[in-house]
Amino acid sequence: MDTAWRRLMAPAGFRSGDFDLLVNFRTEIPRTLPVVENLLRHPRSVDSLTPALRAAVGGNQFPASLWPWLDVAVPAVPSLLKSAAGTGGLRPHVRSLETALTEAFQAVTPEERAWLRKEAPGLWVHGSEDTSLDPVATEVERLRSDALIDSVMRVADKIRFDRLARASVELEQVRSAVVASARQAGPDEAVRMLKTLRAEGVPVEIGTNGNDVHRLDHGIVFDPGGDDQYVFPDSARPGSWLLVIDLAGNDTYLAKDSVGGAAAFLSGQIVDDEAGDDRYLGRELAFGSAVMGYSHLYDGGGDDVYEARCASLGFAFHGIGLLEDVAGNDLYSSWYFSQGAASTRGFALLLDHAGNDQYLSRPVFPDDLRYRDHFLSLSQGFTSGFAPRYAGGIGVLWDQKGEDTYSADIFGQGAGYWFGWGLLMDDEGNDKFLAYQYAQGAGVHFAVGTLWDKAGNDLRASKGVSQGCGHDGGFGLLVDEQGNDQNAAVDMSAGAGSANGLGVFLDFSGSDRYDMGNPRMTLGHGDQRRDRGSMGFFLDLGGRDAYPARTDTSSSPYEGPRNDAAWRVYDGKMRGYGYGMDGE
Amino acid sequence: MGWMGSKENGKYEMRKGDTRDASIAFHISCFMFHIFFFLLFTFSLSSAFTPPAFSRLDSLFLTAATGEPRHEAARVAAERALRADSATLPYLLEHRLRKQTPRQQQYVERLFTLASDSGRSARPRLLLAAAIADTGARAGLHPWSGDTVRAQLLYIGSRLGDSAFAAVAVPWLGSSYEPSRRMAVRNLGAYPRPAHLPLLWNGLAQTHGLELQQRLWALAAQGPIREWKPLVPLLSDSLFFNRRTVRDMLLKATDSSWALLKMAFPSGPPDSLRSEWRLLAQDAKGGREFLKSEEGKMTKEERKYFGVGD
Repeated sequence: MDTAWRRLMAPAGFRSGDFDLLVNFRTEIPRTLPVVENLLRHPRSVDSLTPALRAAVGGNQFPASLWPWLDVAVPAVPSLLKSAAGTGGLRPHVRSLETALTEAFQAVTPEERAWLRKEAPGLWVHGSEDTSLDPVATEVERLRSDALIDSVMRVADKIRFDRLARASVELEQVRSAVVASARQAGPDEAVRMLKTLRAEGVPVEIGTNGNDVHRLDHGIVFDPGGDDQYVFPDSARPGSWLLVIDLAGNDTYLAKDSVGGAAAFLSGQIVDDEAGDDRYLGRELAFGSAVMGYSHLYDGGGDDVYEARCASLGFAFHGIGLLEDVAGNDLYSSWYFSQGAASTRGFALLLDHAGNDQYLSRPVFPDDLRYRDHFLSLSQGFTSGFAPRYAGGIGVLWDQKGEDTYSADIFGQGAGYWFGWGLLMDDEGNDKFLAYQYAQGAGVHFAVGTLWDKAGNDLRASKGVSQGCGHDGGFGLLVDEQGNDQNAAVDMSAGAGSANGLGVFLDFSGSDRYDMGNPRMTLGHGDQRRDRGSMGFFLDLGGRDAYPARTDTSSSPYEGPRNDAAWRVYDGKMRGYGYGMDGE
Repeated sequence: MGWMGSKENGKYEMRKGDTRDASIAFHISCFMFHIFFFLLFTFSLSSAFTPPAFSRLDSLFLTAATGEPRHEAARVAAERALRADSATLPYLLEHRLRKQTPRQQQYVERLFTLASDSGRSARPRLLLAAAIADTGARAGLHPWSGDTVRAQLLYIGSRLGDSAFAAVAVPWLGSSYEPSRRMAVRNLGAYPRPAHLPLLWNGLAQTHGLELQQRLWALAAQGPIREWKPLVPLLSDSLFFNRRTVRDMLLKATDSSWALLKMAFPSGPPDSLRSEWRLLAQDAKGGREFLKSEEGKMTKEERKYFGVGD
């Protein structure tokens, strides 16, 4: 953004305050994260916030380092790694974990927990029956959902997130100690440590080197090897904690329920599978999914399959949900609101370190509001709040290496809706990004969406409101640092602002190709809808690029996108502040 | 059978001589206790929402306001029914101003605009005018009373296509509530006439932000400005969209003549203002020479943007 500012925005007469997207927004939206409000008021802060987020995920405080992004302080917990092995030093940390969890949820009554378990999952599960409702029934459902959301938020207010943060750190400490012990001194040492813990009253289940079946419930499950099967409980276990550590084997994780058995639902949960080609098969709220809790699914290697439906594979509402895969060629397949997708006050992260991966948002729920033949994805670095009242969170998909394919339809691949930030980062590899609308760096309705690709010859295709597009007070940003890329869109894309939005497309280098169905509404375009007009900036700062032929036959002195030129598109009526620049 | 026991010596003693294991009684009583409170709690949470009993007009409105393509036929039929019903507009004012989705809110505007038929029907205007007057009288007594709704009604008025509505809006130019003032100004732009010019010029220099944007838009809607020099100080406004509109108005007022414009060029302007004049020169006939004369003061990026120098 700083480059865009220096090269194009400032010379075009903009000042920093011109990008305050909340300049005429008077209402304070409850639960807006400070970082999100900062981004909406100062979009240029994406330059500092994105590296800060990368540092938080990549640093040695991870994942505790994520809590400040939810405006929760990182708890100071003494490290036990050096002292635990051989001393039975885990017990104080388990006790501290349990105390913190108790305190975190103390104010939530058993009745409220049961009620939440029954009602809350439906907030992020798109029911197939929704598509059969007539407009009146849809309105009843909207009003009912509004009332439900209010009730859920009232319960969420009772949770002490500082205590949940502490519980999460303690749980991570215990996991790290057991895994470090197994790595350094072998599985037998880890078993000895865990048996000590079990003797002290902690629920511990220890598997064998054979093919075991573990029915998960509460406490620690440790398995040294074999092709095991893990069966998650049929329903959530509010107030509990679960730590699964599997050292080897091609394992299967099964979650058959749809109400949070494989999620941290008012609880803490870590699943650590160190090696093997594993299969994670779930439905709703599964695998790195948190509802008012903390969930971390870590897979250390192997070609894995992650399959779920909704609110899964890195999902969070009022808490943190992480899915971390270290290596292997993986398949992430889900229906809706998944793969680094955050709801209110949630930080969701799907972090894949390496491998040629496929991210698939399967077409299941038709986007009835707009189309008959497109489907809601809300996935792959996405966030949404509950408009018009409650803000979204921070949803991140970060793939660090490999040649990856991302497939979504409506809303996804670095997209935000309603006071949240959706971010997709891909660092290396020749990748394909396929979507249809509200995707690939799209901030929609006062939200921020970012797609940041560091390297590789990439292909991006999306029909509209995509590729650095801000709509209705939103900020959309697409950054591509290197590579010879192909970008295809039809309209309102590639640096486009709509209805008071700000869209920025920034490609630093490479000989790129731009296939735009409607060049007049892309490559630096802002419409004049609403009061103050929109802003769209397109910058390609290196390489010989291929632009669409100019179709505008007017006598405008501005000849449109071409190599080594600056252009602007403005008529003060339909077309607002659209600017473009190519070359050094 | 009474399951309410009392604990003595670690055992529950049951009334009526029940001899079964007292611990069962304890667990069942706890279970019943929890069931009771769960039901009570569930009821209290669920009772936060009572499905509304929709009227015929509610159903028609909800159907007509939908944007889902699959309901298009029903939507068209519902809209036809709403337009044919004389109770529709009063119903909208009474029930559909607050707590609507953005789509529903826009549909209220649409129905009023359709009913007005570009001012051929006075009824929407008269109903809106009465409602605007009523918002003050009923302040605090009605769910849609107050400033917010008044601004909303003024906005709807600006969409009617009925120029007589401007007279309804004028008294609110002096409102203490900025959105009401802004929407009143919007009406002066929506229905331009010479008498609006002094109203719009009055206090212009003291207006800021979106209110200034609305004033400038309304001024521009009146046609080319004759006395354009009072606009020049507004090139220093803090918001781009206002500066851009001022530049447009200056260009239009001078027929894009740099020879005319440069007469108002201030001596020794700060960099930010100098930048505005460069942008003005960029679009003015004969402004190229000014840009070339500025080359030495430009950054490398500015030279590229303005196409001067190497």
